[in-house]
Amino acid sequence: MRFTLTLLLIALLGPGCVKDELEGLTYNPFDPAYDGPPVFSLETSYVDILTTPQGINRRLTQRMRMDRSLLLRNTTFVVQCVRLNDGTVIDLLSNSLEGDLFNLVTDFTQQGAEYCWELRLTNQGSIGARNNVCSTAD
Amino acid sequence: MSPGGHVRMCSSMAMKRITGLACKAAFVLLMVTWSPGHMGICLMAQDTGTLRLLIDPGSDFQFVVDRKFRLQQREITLSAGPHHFSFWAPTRSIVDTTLTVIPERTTDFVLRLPYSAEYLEHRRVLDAFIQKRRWARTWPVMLNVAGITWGVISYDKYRKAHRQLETDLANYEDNVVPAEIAVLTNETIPEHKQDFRQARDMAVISASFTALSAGYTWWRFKRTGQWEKPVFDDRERIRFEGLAYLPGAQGGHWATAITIPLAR
Repeated sequence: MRFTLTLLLIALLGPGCVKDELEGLTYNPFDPAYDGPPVFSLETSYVDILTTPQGINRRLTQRMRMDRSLLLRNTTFVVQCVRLNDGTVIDLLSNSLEGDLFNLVTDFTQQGAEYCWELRLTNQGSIGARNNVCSTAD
Repeated sequence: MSPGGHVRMCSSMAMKRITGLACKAAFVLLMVTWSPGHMGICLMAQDTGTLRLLIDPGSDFQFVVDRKFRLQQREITLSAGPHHFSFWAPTRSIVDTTLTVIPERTTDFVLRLPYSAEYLEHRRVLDAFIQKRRWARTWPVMLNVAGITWGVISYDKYRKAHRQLETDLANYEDNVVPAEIAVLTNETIPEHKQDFRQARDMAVISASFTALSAGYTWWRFKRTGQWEKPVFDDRERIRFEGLAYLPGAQGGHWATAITIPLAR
């Protein structure tokens, strides 16, 4: 009798654990509701001063890092980069990235101004994890 | 040894084994020790006959010859002429009759003892009791079987709902299309979680119901097992034997009957 009750309890409570596991489903970077560690981060940034017919171009290069270890499996994807200052959009295919790093360039920057990008992890036209990366053009 | 035993011994042994002087000695001994009634029974002269009693029930009927000797055998040798017999068997009525013994012949007497009115009434009451107890026990068992069936079906649904959530979890982790993940997390998984909650609640309710019905079934069996079973009060036996012990639920009792022959 006691054995049967124990079995019954195990049978009923065991599957109940799955419910808790399904409570926090926001750890897949392709999930639009992703709220885990940032997928994109700033590796470094620097300014190149170029002389052009239009004048002196302070070119800001922001070297971004994508944390691939957060992806739950290897797959192809597109990184959509939206420059927040002017809304420019750049799409980068996953196979065009140099490992985890890629550069984003902004021309004619103002010294001391902050330049931000919204970096989006996308696939088949829909957006997953996203976060902003900013740096100052010194 | 009963008088009937002497009669049988006298008729069979004397006729088949004991010859001459030995039979005469036995005959003289019986004459000395037993009543004149026996003397008549044991006479093996030309005015005796044999009755072969083919009575239903054949196993345990008894009879009283000439209102004096109670016997339990299938054949009897008596003096020729009419003899009074009272036949009886447990659960049957007493049948009184007079049989005429034909000299030097074996006559078959066939009789089916009718069931007594008390026994028929007892059977009716007993059948009603058994039927009532059977119903009292059947429906809790049916309830329990229904509970078990419900429990098994509910648990199966519960397991399927659980498996569905596991599939959803694997799908979430494996999926790389944000639009599909959005549908999965906003629509599919909440629906499946709702199904899972309902299946779990149903499994708990059905398991509780099954446990309760099992407890009730056990209690019902115990309770109905204490019901007093109708005991057969064999009035015909009292009439036949005069004094009888009647077993009952409270330990039984002795009963007797007095017959006053008003006709004389």
